[in-house]
Amino acid sequence: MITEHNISEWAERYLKQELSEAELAQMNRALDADPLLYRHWAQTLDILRTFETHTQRQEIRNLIGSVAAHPAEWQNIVPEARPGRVIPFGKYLRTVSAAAALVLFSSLGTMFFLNKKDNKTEQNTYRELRREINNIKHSQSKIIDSLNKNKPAEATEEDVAIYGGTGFALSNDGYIATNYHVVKDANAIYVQTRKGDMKAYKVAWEPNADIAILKLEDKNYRFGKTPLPYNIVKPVAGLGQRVFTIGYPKDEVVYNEGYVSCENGYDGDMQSYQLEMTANPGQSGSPVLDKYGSVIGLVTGKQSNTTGTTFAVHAEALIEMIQSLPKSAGLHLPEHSRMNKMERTEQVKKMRDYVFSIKVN
Amino acid sequence: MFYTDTELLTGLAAGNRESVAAIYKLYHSVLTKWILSRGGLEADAEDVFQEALVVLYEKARSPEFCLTCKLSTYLFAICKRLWFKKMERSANYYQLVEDDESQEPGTYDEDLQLFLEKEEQYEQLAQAMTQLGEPCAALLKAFYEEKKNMQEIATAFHYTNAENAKTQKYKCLTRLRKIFFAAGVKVKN
Repeated sequence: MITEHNISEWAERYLKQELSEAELAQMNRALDADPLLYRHWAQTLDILRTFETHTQRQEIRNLIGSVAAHPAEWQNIVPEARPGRVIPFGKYLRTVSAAAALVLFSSLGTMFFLNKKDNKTEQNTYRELRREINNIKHSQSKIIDSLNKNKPAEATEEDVAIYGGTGFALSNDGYIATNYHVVKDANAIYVQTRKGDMKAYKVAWEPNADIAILKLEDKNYRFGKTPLPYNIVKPVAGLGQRVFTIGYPKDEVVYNEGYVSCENGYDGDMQSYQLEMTANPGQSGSPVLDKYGSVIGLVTGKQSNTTGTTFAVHAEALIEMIQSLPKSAGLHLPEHSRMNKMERTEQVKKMRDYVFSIKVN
Repeated sequence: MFYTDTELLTGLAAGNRESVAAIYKLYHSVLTKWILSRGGLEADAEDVFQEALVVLYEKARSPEFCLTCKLSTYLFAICKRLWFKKMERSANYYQLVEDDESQEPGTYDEDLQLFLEKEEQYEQLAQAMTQLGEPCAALLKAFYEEKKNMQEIATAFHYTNAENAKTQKYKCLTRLRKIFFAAGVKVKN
């Protein structure tokens, strides 16, 4: 009969499984009847089990500790180094040194030639697409020279652009986006508008993303009669998205189209796309639009050892830059494209007034 | 000699020395290296590895035991957690939330939690034993931990016979229970 006085004994026998069926049944009845007795019984079991667990743990710890103390039982035995055949060095010195010299010479030679070749291809892989107008400059100044032979040539030469690129409007009142590399060394920047060349200045730039924002000096000029026909979208366009661009590789506007061929740009650049689309020098800064007439990027450069592989920085970088401008700049991007249901020719016609040739000297 | 995971675990559960040595051979160096790479000392690494083996031992002994992953994965996960616990205890350490590559992060944590709870419980019991005083503490220790039989104990503690020693032991256990659970209530408040 289990009572308050012999709980310990019963608990011990219970754990050792020494209780008979009859005793177990009788014990359960007694425990059910007396909650206090049951609590003390459970507590005793708790203590006995804690002792038991601890004892078991100590036993296995002793075993583990003893194994740990005898590393010979488990450490990988390193096979003893067998004494190798000794080659008399002095005897073969001349042969060996001749062979070594030959190997050294041929490997250095190979390295030299390969390096030279590598450097060349490396230089060719990425090219910025600004247009050098030096030759144009010369021919122009020659014409001018021949026209006014009595005037000194230097005066006109100063105002002639050296580099060219493309830019597109970010707002109707004078903000323009282009590539940083087009305008980085600029003394003066000219934007070719319907009204002729107009002076602009840099507002913000980001060399890493290769983006610059310009503003026309003339505050009252408007590019078009309506707000911008396109919008600029942040989400990255997926592989295979059809894209098109218009830009100024020469003095007239040129249209190109292609598709997104890789979501990352040159050398895995996460900030730009690789496009399968022809682009020529002068098209740097051209907007890249998807079929809905939303700007998804800016042309920055191309791979020169292949034709048709072009790189464009994500529009997201441009949007981030616009958002970092002070509020006083008053630059608000249109939320919707107004060209999303138009035919391609209509789209191009609509946006022509908002894409410009940019010249820099 | 090559063992499968199951052979190693049954061997470990049975307290087989060769199994322990085999586990040491397979995993000791890689886990030691891992802890050393985290700025631990050789001694820390040894402690962690041995504790992890004890966790594994208990896991292998539990009646509903079923290892749902490879032994190496389990052992490594336990070592990792034990090591982080050790670092948490040292003062200027902020736990890094590590993404676990395991498919079920819960099981390791549960096993380890249970293990540490029992460890904690024993520490409290040991404290209660010191409060209990002699000869009771020594008597209980001799019987429950050193597994001496009542006759030996009766001789060592100068009781007239084993039956008398047994009665004394039960009385001691009752007193221990009262101290332990009174203290437990205090801790909870």
